[in-house]
Amino acid sequence: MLFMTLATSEYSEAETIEALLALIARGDKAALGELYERTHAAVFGFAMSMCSSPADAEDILHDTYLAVFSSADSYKPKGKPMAWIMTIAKNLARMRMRKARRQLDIADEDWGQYLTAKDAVSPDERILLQTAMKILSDTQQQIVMLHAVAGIKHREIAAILDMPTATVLSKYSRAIKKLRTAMEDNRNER
Amino acid sequence: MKDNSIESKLRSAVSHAAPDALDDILSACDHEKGKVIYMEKKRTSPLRGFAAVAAVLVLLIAGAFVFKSLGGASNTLAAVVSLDVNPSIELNVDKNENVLSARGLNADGKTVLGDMQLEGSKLDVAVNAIIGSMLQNGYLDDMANSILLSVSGVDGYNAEALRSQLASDVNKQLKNCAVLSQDVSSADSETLKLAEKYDITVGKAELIRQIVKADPRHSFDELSELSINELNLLADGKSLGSIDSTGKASSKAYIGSDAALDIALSHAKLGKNDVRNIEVELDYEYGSMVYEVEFESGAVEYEYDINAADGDIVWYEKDSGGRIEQGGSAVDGNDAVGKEKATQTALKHAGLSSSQVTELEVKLDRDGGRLVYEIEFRVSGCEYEYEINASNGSIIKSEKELDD
Repeated sequence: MLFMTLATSEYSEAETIEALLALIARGDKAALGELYERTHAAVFGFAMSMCSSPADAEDILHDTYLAVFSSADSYKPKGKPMAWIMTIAKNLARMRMRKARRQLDIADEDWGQYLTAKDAVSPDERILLQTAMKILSDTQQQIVMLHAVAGIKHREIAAILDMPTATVLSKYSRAIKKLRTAMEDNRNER
Repeated sequence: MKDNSIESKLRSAVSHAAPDALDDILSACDHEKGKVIYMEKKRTSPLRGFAAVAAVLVLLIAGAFVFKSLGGASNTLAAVVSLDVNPSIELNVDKNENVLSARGLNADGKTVLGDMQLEGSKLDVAVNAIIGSMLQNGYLDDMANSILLSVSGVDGYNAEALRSQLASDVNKQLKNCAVLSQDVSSADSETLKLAEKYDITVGKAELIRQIVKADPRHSFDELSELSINELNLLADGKSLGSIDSTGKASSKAYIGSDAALDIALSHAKLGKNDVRNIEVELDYEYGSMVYEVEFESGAVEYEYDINAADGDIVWYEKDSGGRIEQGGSAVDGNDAVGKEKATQTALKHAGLSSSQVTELEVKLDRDGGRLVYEIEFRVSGCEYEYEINASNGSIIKSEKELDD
């Protein structure tokens, strides 16, 4: 299969994803499966940062790959396939909801249950994610997910979120600092 | 703990938290594929003779203000036909294709209908007269030539046959127009809800949904204001589900992508040979059609939105590796409030004075079609975030968060 060869060769991740998108544009579901394996954690992380409930985040994940499948033929390869996928996710999330005014308690409880039920998530990881969702602003969460988890460049994040690159840079560094401090405090308390 | 270690911990945590939805997605894809109806290749015809056809139709209308047919009308609603250009008109017809009633759904639609008495006339005659009136009133011309026909059948009436007949009639009458047509009998509840919310026809709501589906960078909200010709231009080359499309939307009202690129290059004081990765695309921003122009020169990235109708530079951004320069008429014309006043508005809302706060950051940014000030500051363990409308000073968003 073409994508297997691509995946193991010297092609960059972006080129591999673009090659997969080209196959998906022709209706190749195996390629969609491969794309999903490579990217779904990043897309889910971004969805988490935009949605107030786990159910919404799961729906956005699902709908994003459906939209990728049905519109891959409109993707123009310019080396930023993850930015394209994340823009789709962002718009789906915006259509679905303007993230409700932070209903911290409810959202926190929902995510707590969701993460506790996932065996793969360690208690430390659960605390980290819940802390991030609790102490970071919506935009900070989105930027952290896009950069730290999805590995997208600050400049591309600026385009996805439609804000100046300088804002993305400052929000990112501030968010990471805030998260690090909170986790250190948390560890000291235990 | 180092930054990169918290980043890798986050990566691992998210990948453990992500659900495995692949099987669901793949089976939904099958369902999706089954629904898609691929259309035949777009037929393009040169835009000529539009005026001549218009003249014939105007003549036709002149003698056609009363269309009462003698054939017996059954009075029972069998189908609803809507015509969208920018004017929207809805016709209720019975099973013999006699018009039971005609209604302008917006002000332009009412203008088009004027004094015409279409009740009792045959549907094809009524549609012919409506299109003639649209031409006469300047809603359809060689600069905006797209029309959307949507047919909805009642109680199993064959709406698809009527759609196909009407589309072919209109194509015969208006040789250089672009006709979009669809059977909306089984439009889903989401489309119906959106049509109601935005006060547009179900047909137009479905068209916008298809465009958003094909290019998810657009949102339904921003596209709901557009005319059918503008939507048809954005839809160019995209699959539109079960919407049939013939002809090509006219872009004659616009300056063209070459001219847009020239404007951007000359503003950037660069020649075509100085830049690479040039991209020009027709898009919709700030409430108007724009050419989105992008290019790079050295390590500098340029982005322009050029008003498609008059070449005005609506927005530009020059990104020299993080150092940003922005401007354009969206900024110049709309920053009536100014940085100082916007900051004061936010501080006043928070009940604070500038001497009490730290880390004050004020940035001008665009949000959809609006220009906004993003203002952030902190005071004793609290972080405040404001968005102030730069044209009228109103508070769009205020957020106060406790720092833990």
